[in-house]
Amino acid sequence: MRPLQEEVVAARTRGRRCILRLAVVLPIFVGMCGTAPGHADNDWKIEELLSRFAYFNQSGFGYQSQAGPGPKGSEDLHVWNPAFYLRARQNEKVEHTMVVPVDIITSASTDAIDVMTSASRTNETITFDITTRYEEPADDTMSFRYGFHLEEWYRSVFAGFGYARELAEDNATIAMNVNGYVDVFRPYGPFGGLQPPGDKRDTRGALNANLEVSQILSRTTLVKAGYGVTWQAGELITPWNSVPVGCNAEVTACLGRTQERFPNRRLRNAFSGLLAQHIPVTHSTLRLHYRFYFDDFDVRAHTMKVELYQYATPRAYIRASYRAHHQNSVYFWTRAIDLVDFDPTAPRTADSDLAEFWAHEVGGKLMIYVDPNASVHRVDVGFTRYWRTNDLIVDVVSLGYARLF
Amino acid sequence: MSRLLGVILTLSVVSGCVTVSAHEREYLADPTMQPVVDLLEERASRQLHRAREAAGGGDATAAGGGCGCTN
Repeated sequence: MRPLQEEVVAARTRGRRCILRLAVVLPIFVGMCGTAPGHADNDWKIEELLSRFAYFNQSGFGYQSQAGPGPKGSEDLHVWNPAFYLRARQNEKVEHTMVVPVDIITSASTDAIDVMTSASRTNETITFDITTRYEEPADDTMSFRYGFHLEEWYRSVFAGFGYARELAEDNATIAMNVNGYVDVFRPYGPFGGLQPPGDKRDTRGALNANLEVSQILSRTTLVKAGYGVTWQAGELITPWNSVPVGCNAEVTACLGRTQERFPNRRLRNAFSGLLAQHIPVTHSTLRLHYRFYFDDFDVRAHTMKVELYQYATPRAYIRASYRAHHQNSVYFWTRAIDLVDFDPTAPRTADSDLAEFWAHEVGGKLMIYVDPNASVHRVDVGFTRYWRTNDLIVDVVSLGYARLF
Repeated sequence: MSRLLGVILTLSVVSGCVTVSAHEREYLADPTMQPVVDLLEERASRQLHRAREAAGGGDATAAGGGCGCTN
């Protein structure tokens, strides 16, 4: 049997080639479809094509990271994220949409293999998320969702079913859907090998159900409200995350680390609401979002977001947005474990994402519609800054292009 | 939570009295008034938050599934 490091490198090379092949082939396939004639009723026709490229620059520190300089390690990473969306009509009643995001991530801090062996400095992922909608009769829409996600050490498949009904002359819509996910992954632990040793793969699953109601309140006002529940089971940890052990009072020096440990069940709930108000006098739109989340890890979170869209010309608008999020920690979060009280079977995590914090986000975007040759083209450029009160900053620059056929 | 439910119920009751016909929906047809304004941007934004906050999922998407970076 080959050593683990060689096996890891070989698996990563195979996965990287596969993902890059898919990323190259997909746009070519989409381009070929876009040139196909769409005159007859039963011919496939591309109706909408979106593409977006985003670059993420993250910096910060978290106790789960071993990337140094101290027990609170670096969380620096960069992400290049091209994404594609395609909407195609098969016939009058059947429509398909496909979303394909690709992530190319430098993950020196989060990837335990990098920390221990420098076997890889990047991680690539790709997702195919396909939804087929069937509309019959006119007010009823059934949808089937299916797809998969590939990472070099991780595979996931998902499928779902949805139903939506238009009510009151299309003034209201009620929609519900149920989704299932199965994840299979190699549990690379915080010390570079499989954790526990010999454990070739771990699994987890999730079931998710949602109910959503949207309602037109006036010629300029729309509201939407929703509730969703997710039940997870299996190995829920991020396997390479570690918890400092035997530290001084300031957690600046520690004797060692251990792997994080979670309960193997989690029930999540979220209520959400949206109010969208168009203001004709100023040619602007105000959107207010609110979300309340709670789960059985004792997390309670409130999220508020406000967006203002302002048309500068009939073909261009700017958007300003602000988002605030507050959460308390999971009940087993800690900066470090005391050796005296150490219970190896007790849940524990030092993941900064699961701590108590406030998160703020401000963003701006410029959208321009251009319309040559009776086709609609749209380009946009945006910037977002996300920062947390526990040492994390993410800057996102994005560039988008859309075409309606 | 009870307040939120109250708001939802109130809006549902009030909205029952209003019907906006198709030809009166000029403003509602504006791209900025759609339930989702930019699908790819919203998906990327949700992914950013889902991977960095403990409160992901439950609203139209599951957490802990479909991605190796969930919380």
